Amino acid sequence: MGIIETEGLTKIYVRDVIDTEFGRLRIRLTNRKTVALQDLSLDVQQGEIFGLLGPNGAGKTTAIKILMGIHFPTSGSARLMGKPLGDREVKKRIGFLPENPYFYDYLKGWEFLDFYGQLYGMDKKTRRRKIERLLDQVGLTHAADRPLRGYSKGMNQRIGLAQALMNDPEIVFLDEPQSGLDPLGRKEVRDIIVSLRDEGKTVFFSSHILSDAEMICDRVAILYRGKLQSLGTLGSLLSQSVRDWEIVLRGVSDEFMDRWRPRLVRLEKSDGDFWVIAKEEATTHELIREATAAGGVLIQLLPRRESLEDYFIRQVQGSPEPRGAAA
Amino acid sequence: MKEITAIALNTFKEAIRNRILYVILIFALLLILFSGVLSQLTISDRLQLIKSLGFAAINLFGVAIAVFVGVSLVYNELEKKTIYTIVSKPIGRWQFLLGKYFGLLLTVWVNVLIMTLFFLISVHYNVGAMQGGGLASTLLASIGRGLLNLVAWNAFEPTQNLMFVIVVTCMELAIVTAFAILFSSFSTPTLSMFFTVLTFVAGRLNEHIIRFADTVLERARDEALAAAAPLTKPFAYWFAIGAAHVVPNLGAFHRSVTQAIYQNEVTLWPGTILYGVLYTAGILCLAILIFSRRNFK
Repeated sequence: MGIIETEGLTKIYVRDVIDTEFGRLRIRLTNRKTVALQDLSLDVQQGEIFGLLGPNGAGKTTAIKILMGIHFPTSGSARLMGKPLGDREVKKRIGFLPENPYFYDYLKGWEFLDFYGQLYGMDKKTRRRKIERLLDQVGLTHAADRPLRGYSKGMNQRIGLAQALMNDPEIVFLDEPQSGLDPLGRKEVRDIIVSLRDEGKTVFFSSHILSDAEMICDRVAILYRGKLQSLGTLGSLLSQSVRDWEIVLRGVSDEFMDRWRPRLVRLEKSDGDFWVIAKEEATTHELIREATAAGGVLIQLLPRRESLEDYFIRQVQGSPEPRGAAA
Repeated sequence: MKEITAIALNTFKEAIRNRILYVILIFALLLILFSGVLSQLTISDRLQLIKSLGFAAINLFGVAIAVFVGVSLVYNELEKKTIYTIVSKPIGRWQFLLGKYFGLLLTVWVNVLIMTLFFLISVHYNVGAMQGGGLASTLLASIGRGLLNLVAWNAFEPTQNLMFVIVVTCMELAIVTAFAILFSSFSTPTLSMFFTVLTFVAGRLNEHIIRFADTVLERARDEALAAAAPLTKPFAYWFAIGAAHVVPNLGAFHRSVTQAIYQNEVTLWPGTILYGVLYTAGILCLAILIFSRRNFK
């Protein structure tokens, strides 16, 4: 049994003035409908880093909002730690960082975390200890006494992450944790996510930055236009066969390379080195053999496999036209 | 309870950092302080006018604070999406809404307390000035008396019963605040402001609405008698009666106030307070009912 399970989760948004439900009685003043999420069934195991991937508007945020009890599903159901959504005991054991978080900007960094600690019912001593540790972990100790108003986007994201870890959660939900961050910031978030897994926590995060996901995810689900396109380990999704070969040669003549040009996918010269892409393994071997025989040196040989991005584009290109799916 | 307190205190922090609050408060304090000057225009009891003006200021500006600060409190949480992190924490939506309510109520009451202090000082100063005291000494004495009066309600003759009236006013504001939270739990700030003010006005005119219904019924009865036809109660009657029963009877609170000012007795207030508590609880239940099943943007 998974620690996060969803079963046929569907969300149809209706833009409306009033939208509220009392059991079977539903009061709605409505106009337009959008299918944001369609029949999503997932099963996330304890202790894994699970990536919910897809372009903007694929339904990633909607899925997380439903799991967090911010939205109610139109149909389908979901369970966290075996309990139905909204369970108080479960909420004590999860952490959540929303997308583009905007927090109470009149609070100071410290006050902000203290407030969330109070919501978890922590006593003063525990809060103080926890806050000190978290500020250190996300690198914000120096900004603890500054109002959030003066925080940069990256600092906001980090204080948001600290907020999500306040209760030492077993599952951490992160919605686009790396959006808006510079490469260094993204690496820091990546490191934190990996360290969370090392502590035995389950991390469920959404992202459209595939290279980041590729580096850390144990399993991924790819969403597109509200539908689950594929689900599995990166190894099982990405073709393991070598797509092509990247070769760098030095000390061979231009004439020699010109003779080879028709058999290569790409051939470029920079600083006296030749950068070559060859499709066939046999071609690659032959080229290297002849080049070394002609006095050349092999600088680099790299078999290139399919990246998540290649896979993603392959998946998405086969999908039907959009219906104006929402975020 | 801890969670509600945390949210309430956070709401209070947010509210007291709102500039609108200070604009309203400054206007209120100016009106209270100038009531002494205005009272010189009256031909009747000057003290009565000062008291009337002071109460009116406390009441109206209290409502203004509840409305202008209150209607955006819940909305802002939704608009800025701060609610997302709150909802994912182990607290119920009802606790969130109650926290917001009590935080707003605390803000309103703290402001009422400040206005009351200025009001008491104003009354004591004017009493002192009428007895021909010097400016500086009267001012100092009235500040001292005002502060003391906040604790010892019946310490001074001119301000006898006034604190009861403040308590009644606080209860009335608790109802208005509950409405501000109710409306803001499902509509935009502008609409909530409109609805809340409308409810306050209708609530104050409650007894007039009932009187209007009676007049309508009276006329219908006369017409029925003249035409020798059976009496059918007209739509206007049912509408007015319905409206009068839905909106809070804030007129009752106003009656407590006039009783204290003009008749110098306070018999109505315990019943009025009980009514206020029950009515507020009802409105908050309704707000929670709507809010707990609401889809956030």
